[in-house]
Amino acid sequence: MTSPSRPVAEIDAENLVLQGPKTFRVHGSVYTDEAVFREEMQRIYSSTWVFVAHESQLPHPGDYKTSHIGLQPVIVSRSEDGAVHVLFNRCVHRAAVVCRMDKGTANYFRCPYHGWVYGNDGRLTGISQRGGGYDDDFDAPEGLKRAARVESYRGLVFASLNPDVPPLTEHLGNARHWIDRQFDRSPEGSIDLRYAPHVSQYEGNWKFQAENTVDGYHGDHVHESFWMVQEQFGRESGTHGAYTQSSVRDIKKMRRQGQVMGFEGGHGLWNTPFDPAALDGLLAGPHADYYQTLLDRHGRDELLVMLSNINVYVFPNLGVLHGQLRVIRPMTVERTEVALYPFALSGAPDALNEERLAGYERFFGPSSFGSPDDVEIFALNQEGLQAGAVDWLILERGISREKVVDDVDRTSHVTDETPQRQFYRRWLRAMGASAVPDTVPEPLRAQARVAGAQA
Amino acid sequence: MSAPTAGDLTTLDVAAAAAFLHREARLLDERRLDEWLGLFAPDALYWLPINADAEPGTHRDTSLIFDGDVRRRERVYRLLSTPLPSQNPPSRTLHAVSNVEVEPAADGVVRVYSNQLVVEVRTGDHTQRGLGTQNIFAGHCTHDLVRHEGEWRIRMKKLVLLTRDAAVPNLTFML
Ligand code: FES
Ligand SMILES: [Fe+2]
Repeated sequence: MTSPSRPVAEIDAENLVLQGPKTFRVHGSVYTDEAVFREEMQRIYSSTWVFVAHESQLPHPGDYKTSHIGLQPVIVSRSEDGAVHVLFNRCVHRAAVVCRMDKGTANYFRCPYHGWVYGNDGRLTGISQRGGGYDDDFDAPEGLKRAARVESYRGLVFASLNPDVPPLTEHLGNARHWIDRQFDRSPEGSIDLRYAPHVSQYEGNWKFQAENTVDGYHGDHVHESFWMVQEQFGRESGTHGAYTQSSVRDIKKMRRQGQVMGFEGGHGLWNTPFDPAALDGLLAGPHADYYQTLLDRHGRDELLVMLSNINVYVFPNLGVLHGQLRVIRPMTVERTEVALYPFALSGAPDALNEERLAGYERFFGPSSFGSPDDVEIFALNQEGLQAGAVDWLILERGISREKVVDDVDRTSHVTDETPQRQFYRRWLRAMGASAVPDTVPEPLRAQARVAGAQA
Repeated sequence: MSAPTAGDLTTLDVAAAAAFLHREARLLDERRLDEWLGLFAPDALYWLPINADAEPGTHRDTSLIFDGDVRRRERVYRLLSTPLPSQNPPSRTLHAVSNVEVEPAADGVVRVYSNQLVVEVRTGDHTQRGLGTQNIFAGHCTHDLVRHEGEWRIRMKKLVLLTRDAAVPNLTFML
């Protein structure tokens, strides 16, 4: 693997993933090698679409929110004409950041160092003490540098440093339908990030959180504690919908139904079904009108899918799951920040949104009963990798039973490592391992044809 | 309990309020959490807001902890009786309470302000990441105390951490 700007390849991505008909192994250095991390920042975070904000975080002209594209700080800003700009948070004079707040409203950004001023559209509108100091033909930059491309999908704002990146909907592929199903739970079809985020950092590589967001294999072990709480106390203090069962046995049973998917773009899905028998209860419950509206609009079959447990991972840095946007921010090869933004469903009853928030808080956040156990595991992963005498991590669960769907995506048993394998296929393509076949191997295609004929 | 026990008391002096808070700190540090639950009045709230200006007790924004009676019992059950990776090995804590002030009682509620420093460490194999390092959590604390069954009990404990809206580490121990 070589890049034009770097004559000597520092890493060889192809050798970092071992693939065969029954083999899928990832080398430990993928999580520990600083050269790999640098390449990822270049070839993934500077090349594909990266999630930066949701439009509801900047509803009005002048609103802004700081964010990152990989390691690079940006300001997502809405100008007077309503347009959304993704601007690098770096003064073009001598590099000071021009914005120190996480969010707010501003007509302009004034650099604290020498006072250059930028409009909320990023244009340089003022150079302090200009007269005499700079010649009339001074070659002034236009303003804050902007991301090459910005596109939104249902309010999710993505940016890319790559002017030639394919359209966002193409990048999202079929994963976007599973985002739709979560946002369509809003009677207005939109979500609102009106709540503060929960922010954690862990001493581990960013890919551990990426893999885990759609991992259906770890629950029995990492979250047994939560299931025991559920068994002991039921839903009395709130539920976010995922654990309506009242015994550890029933929760385990539920978590063995459904499917995982790995999408062409490296995205993933974990999906366990909603019990159809429970729908009548919702239609007669305290939020009957809300559920009736959804039923009328989407029909029973689709509503049952919409009410199922849906975890979506979007390559490389976004999760959409359990009423939250999850934003992964790589910091170093072994340090990562994860921000969880619980969202409200626009147009849903206030009481429903409050219940959802209370249920979310039971499992998610640094003091909750669920996600701290996941985050703890990521540090264990990184610690274990110090034992470099072991070469490979094994991602082969379900490799023989997964099926191809729509020619490019894959589905399998809900506990299989199908999304994680698809992640690494995408990762390899991004990292420049062009020799690795993108296409689905023929045996899997044959399997899909058989399954299709039977259906 | 070292708080006054006479049934007709309507307020505490600073020394009695401090004694109440010291007792709570001891119960937390010794993981006597069933006894700690007993310090609360019915319908009490144990609250670590992220938005410090949130209207007391409302649930319109994210909290680090928003524990009513059931959620508080769940928290104690989870810590004492379930296998949880985030507390294996478990945290040791030291709760230091200072700057105690008592507001005049209103409607039977006595408001006690304090500063709280919680020092936390997990040891085990201290060479491993996340273990062997002391963490400090500083916060402004408000206790609303009421008389219940002849004793002072907590109606609301609100702890506003200085780092509430920054990245915070594992907070699964008792704060
Ligand atoms: S660095 Fe910004 S004005 Fe000089
Ligand atoms: Fe998990």
